[in-house]
Amino acid sequence: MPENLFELKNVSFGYEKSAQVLNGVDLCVPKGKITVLIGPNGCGKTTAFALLTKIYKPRQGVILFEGKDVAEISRKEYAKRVAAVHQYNTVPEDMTVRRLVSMGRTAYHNQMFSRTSEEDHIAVDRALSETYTEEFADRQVKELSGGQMQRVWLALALAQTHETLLLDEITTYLDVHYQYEILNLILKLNREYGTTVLMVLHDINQTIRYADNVVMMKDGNILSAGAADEIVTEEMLEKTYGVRAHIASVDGRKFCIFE
Amino acid sequence: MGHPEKKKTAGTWKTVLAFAVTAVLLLVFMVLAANIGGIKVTFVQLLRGIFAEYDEDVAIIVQLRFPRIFVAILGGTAMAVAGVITQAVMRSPLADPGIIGISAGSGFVAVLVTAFAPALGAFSPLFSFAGGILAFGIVYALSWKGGLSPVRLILIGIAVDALFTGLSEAFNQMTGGNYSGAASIVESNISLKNWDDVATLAVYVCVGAVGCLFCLKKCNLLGLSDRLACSIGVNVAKTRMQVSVVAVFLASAATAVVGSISFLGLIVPHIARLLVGNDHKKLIPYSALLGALFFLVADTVGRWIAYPYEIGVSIIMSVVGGPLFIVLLLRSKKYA
Repeated sequence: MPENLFELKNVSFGYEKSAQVLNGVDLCVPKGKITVLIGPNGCGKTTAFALLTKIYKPRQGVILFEGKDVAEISRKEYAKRVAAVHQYNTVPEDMTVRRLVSMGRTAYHNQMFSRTSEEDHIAVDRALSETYTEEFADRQVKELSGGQMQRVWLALALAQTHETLLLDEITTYLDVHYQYEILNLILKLNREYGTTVLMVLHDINQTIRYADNVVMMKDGNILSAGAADEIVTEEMLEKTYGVRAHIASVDGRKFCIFE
Repeated sequence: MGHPEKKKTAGTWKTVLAFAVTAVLLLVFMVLAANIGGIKVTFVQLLRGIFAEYDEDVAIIVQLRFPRIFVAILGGTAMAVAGVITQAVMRSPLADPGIIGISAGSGFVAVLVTAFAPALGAFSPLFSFAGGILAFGIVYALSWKGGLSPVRLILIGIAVDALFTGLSEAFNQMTGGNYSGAASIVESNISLKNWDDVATLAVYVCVGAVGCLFCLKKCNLLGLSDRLACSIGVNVAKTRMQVSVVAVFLASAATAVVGSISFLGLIVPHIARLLVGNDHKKLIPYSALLGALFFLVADTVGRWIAYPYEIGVSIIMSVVGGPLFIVLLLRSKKYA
């Protein structure tokens, strides 16, 4: 039984008091594994994600990081251990890729004056090379394609830390080539550094292929959680998404077809 | 592969050139401005008169015209920098303390202080700071709903601006314009400024400049979306507050001495961004320099165009700034 890095206990949240988006969610994210959060639109995935990145505080319940309440961890200390890639990001368009990626080092500095350290250079160079973004490191952000930009966001997160990555729909808007490139990259990081990954995905086949652990959500609750084989079943897909699916396997690899 | 290197150098050169040209133009206009009026001196005579031997003409110019020039330079610097920082805080290129009511709020308090407690003189910027904070608080609170809608910001800002400008003018008319110091703030008239005003403004602008040094990096962090800033370890709400205080302080200091000037804090940062980019480590210093130049040029043109009559600098700024504001609105797809 692996140790849990995050634990949500009876967490409730709503953007307005009247409408609850999450209703008493209990969720565990095992350390060193890839956990995938799936569920239909509006099920509360992105909200759960935002709570984990400390953008919002739960109205009820508690979120633990290594057994400690995240509300008691300073934003800076948290950022040194947990990095996130959000769905929509804005950034001044004349910023160079290298400067944007080096923003990932913010938590290691004070916000007024401080020099770039040798460690910063090493971390940024490493993040650029791991995401194959170094070839356009001196270009401006506005010159990049969607696929390149998504890798830059990942590089920014990696410059921050390799310990934990929270990724919100990182493959959406990318073509198939970039989708698999980025997922393989995440898998590689997980296997090499033991990075704990929590990602929100929409694609069932990608979920089956990359997840060690799947959490299925619906209507602000967790329907089920566990190994992909147990969770992603024809029955569960119908229950969650209301679609009939057929799970087949080719050369021992499972995949899913919708009717 | 040499391509990105070359590009980087080109960018640096552009920045250096922008700074150099602006600085030279500022010097040129200082000399020109010193020469508008009954007495004329050459540049050499001016230098000799100030640094070497007594010259009656130069002494008159130094007493009467120099304070006005320095007030223009300091006021322009403060307003332009306040504009850049307000835009970073509000994350909207259309936020100008002169338009969204901050200057009007601080101007109203400055008018009251100048009328009822003229002895406070050098401290009046501190009181106007309180007025600026009040106006800023109202605008910020009303236009911030989870995020900032630029349209709401402008609309509420204009309403707050109208309110405080109206209050100042009402006070001025109620008292028959008897408080000349107060009237000069209401009308943004800087023709009667003396060396005391220069000293007061210089002190507050220096304090503001120190504040700016603490803001350079924070402004860059605020350029990222809130979620992103949050997850790289920035306390966004706190940072935004700290930076706002500096912006309001600078705008209020300028307003207390010069009066409310619209559009300067909007146009100068916009041009500065085109020339030196969005990095606040360059943008803030350059806007300071360009703001000084802009204000001095506007004031000088106002003195020269209908000589011996004068057109107030705020009128020049409005006449030039209004149309430019519309151009900016039409050009930016996001805000129109």
